Amino acid sequence: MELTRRWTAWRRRAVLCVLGACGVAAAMGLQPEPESYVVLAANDLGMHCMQNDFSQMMILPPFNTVHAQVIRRGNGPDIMDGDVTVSFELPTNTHSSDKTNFWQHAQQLLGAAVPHDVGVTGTGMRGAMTLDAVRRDYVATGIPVTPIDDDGKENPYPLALITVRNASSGAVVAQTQAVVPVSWEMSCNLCHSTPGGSTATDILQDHDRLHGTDLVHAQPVMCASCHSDNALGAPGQPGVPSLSAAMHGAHTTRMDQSGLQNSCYACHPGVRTSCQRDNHSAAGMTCTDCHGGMTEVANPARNPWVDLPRCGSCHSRPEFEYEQPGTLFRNSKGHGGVMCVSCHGSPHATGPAATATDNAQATRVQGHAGPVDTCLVCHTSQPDEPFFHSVEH
Amino acid sequence: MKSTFAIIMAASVASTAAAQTYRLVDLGTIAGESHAFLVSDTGRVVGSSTKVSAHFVGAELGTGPASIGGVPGYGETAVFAVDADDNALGVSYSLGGLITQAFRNDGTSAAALGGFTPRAVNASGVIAGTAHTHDVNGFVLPQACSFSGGVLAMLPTLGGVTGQAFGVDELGRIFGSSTTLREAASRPCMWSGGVARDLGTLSASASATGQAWGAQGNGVVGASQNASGIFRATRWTLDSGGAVVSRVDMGGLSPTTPSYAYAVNAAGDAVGTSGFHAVVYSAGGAVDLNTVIEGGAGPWTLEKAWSISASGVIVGDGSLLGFPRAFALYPCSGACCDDIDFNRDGLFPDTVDIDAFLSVFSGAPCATPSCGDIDFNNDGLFPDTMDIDALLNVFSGGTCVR
Repeated sequence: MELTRRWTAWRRRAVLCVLGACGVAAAMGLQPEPESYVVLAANDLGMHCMQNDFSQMMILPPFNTVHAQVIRRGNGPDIMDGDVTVSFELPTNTHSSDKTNFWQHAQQLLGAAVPHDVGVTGTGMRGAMTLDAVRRDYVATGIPVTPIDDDGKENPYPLALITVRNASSGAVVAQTQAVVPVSWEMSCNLCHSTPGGSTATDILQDHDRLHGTDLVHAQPVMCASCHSDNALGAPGQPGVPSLSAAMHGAHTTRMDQSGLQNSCYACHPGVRTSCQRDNHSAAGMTCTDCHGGMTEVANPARNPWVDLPRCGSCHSRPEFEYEQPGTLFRNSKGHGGVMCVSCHGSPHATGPAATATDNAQATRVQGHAGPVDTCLVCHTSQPDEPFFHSVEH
Repeated sequence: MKSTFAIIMAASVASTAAAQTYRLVDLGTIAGESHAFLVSDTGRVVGSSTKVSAHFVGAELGTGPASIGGVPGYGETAVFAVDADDNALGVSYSLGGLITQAFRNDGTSAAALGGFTPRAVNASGVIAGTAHTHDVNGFVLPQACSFSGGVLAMLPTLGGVTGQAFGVDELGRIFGSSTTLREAASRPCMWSGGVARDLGTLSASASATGQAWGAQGNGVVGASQNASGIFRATRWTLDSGGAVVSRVDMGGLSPTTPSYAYAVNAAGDAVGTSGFHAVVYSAGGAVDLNTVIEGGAGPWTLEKAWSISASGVIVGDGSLLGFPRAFALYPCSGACCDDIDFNRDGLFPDTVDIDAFLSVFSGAPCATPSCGDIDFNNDGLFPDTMDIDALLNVFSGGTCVR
């Protein structure tokens, strides 16, 4: 089997892990076991924002995506793309239809009714993850999760429990936890605030005044019905700038009004819910260090959600590949086909992150936060060949 | 008190929920949004509110918002319950953290109770909640728990690895949800005598999901999925041994609209949400609370009714001009007057409100950004000196007169 050959080759080339890390792994019960599995999961973006009120307008619906890669441990580990089933659940956040009015307005916004507690792609709040044969991982796309736990507490970082079962016997063979981050901390009200009116009304009125539209009388409005939005796969209207270009362009000269140290958090979540909470943040980097400033993001030539920062723009190391050519970090593989996010974590939450929830998976499988860098997480014996970072070596 | 509660308690009648009208009161905010999770039978309202830093603090609501201190060192606090000794029970936690700290605040200081979220307490002091425990495999999983006599006890599951608890009745039975073997489903669950019991759902499917939230006598309320997979407010009736003898769909704003019931009072009236509108459940089904407010809901949308007191006062979460805001609904008995905070400055009872009312009554503009209307007793007649009588009567603790 090609996979096995590949992983066997990798095993031959892998380096000895740091002795201390191996010691921790052993102490945590990661001794080699026959036919044992490990599953590593990550959210696709590190933060999904949504609104808490869809009665007047919609920028983004409740929509979240989590990936899980299943690896059969061994001297030559195998990435599993069959023989197992994978499912997800959100133990503290099991339903959404009592937490947002999205479903009351979905028909008007999207032109089609969306079943309650089901996202726009048909995914519910728990269920099976489907195999992505290209990525060779399992995915749940469009989970309609909100940042409110069932008990009423705000929780922008709910932990999904992901369970892998033997497809034949149904026996649970591996589990993991991964953050499914979501926030509605979009503080448009910092500027869009007219006494006696809602923030959405203020926004729509401004749009009407500046662009000659009549959105106030067309509520609820889906921004992407005119402005193309790759996040929703919406083509928009000819001649109308993309939502990203329009939003960033219109606000370029206005962000000083927010009064925030990081003005990106006036619109993106957020001062409290920290879209960026990764190791880069700990090193003092902010949004613009990777994404550029408002003018750059507003460039109409930019393809939003596609033209994104590349790790290789800053990181370089001989024989290391920091994304696959032409592929974003979140979709790239390395190290014999392991998804980058499986080891490093979600974009914006790469480990070690500032949040314990984001570090939970790495801490559990190897005893410490940060990238999964302990060989024995997947290998049942210590490889005696140098570690390689690229897909192929 | 702050006496809005005393006034209303004296005037309120809890019955015939379908015909009941209510006076809507904005419970305010410390600085930002607010949520009201509980109104006790003594009329105390607690919840959470953001403060200037935008973090959530425990909040005393209904008497002009004030913070309730939690355990230091955590970013957020919410208060969910009040015990028989009038101590506030809440949780302090940090966004993105794995540890929560329950506390009991006696009005002076907060004492830590342990690593869980207390969601309800009964008259005997038995607390129901959810802990986040590290299992033997290193997972941090929610577990239903009870806290009594200083002892935190984890409750068993229905065979799975997770559970949550939301309510406890006077018999000490705890209500919530638990997953079943191999995480096949998250089922409505009752714990009694340390034993977990699956209450079943409106669907016959073993994979249907549900949650139980509270009970009054032999009636348990919550929500469960029906045969169409829609969550519907559910009332389980138990026999004397605690076995389920019936499960009833309590209704919703339409037959296909999801509905949930979170609390039930001594009269058997339950509250919750349906179609993201706050509702009260009666024998006739769900009543949209937005439609039974004296004078109308105005800029409000009442979204979620979390709690109902013995006297029928309802509190919950709403949207005021798009912002999350805690509300209270006070049952009207006969006539229903406006809020005595006429000048909307958050201070009441306050003689400045009387001055403001008389000023507006005589034709002057409102001196504050917002004032109530001069038809104080909502009889449709204005200007009318009976409104002055009504204001003074309510202000002094009397009933609304027309």
